[in-house]
Amino acid sequence: MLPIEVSLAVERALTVLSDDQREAVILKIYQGFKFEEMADILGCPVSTAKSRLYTALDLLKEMLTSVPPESGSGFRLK
Amino acid sequence: MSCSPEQLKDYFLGELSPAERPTLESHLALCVACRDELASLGNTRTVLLSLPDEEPPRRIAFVSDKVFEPRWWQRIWRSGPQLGFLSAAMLATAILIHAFVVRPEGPSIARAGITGAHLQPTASPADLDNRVRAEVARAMTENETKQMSRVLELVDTKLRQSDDRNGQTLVLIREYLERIDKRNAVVAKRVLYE
Repeated sequence: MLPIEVSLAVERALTVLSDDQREAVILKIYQGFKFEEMADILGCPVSTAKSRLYTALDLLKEMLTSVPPESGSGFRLK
Repeated sequence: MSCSPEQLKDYFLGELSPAERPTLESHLALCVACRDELASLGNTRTVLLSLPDEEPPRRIAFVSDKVFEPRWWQRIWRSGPQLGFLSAAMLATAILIHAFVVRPEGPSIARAGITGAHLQPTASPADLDNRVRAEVARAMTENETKQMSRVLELVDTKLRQSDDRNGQTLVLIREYLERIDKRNAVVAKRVLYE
């Protein structure tokens, strides 16, 4: 799979998530915030932030299961 | 221990408490399903992190220039953080110059006849670095808070003047800005207390 195809698959998968779920994924996976910090930023209880993230991760796992992990371009999102 | 998808995800994200970690690791050694799940989560994260670190190309610029032109609030917002960063950088430079070039002599201590044994050792580069970082973070937070409240005031003014449709957009923008403000506060707290 070409890096551009991986990027497109990731972007498509992120689009399927709800706004809340996408925000949780960005804060945790891309920006490395802790659960407490995420809850502060999102203005919700830690349990809610966790549940949004976990649902999102399950969805992303299913959607990206066919994408081989070594085929990405290896860069990090800002 | 039986399989716990939530604990496994906590572990995967580095959020499982040190006390719970050994139990989960022993379970992982015995449970193939959980090991597979962990590997699958790892693959998902690797794929997610493979997004390129660049904005999508702005194709056909002559057609899309208008579309990508920053709105009034974007122009204000973009100028705020830039000004904040500039002033924080200047403050950091001033602190460094003060520390290395215009260091005070400390005559009051010498005149009082206090021996060197009572003096505090000179700040180490690490201490100095921490102080500079803390100062910069404080200055940036202060500046960003000021800028943000100004932007929010402007949004509120526009909100009062706008019709219903624009109003909805402005409410969304307001929420977005408040979230950025909270995120900046968390980042600043992290820099201050790390």
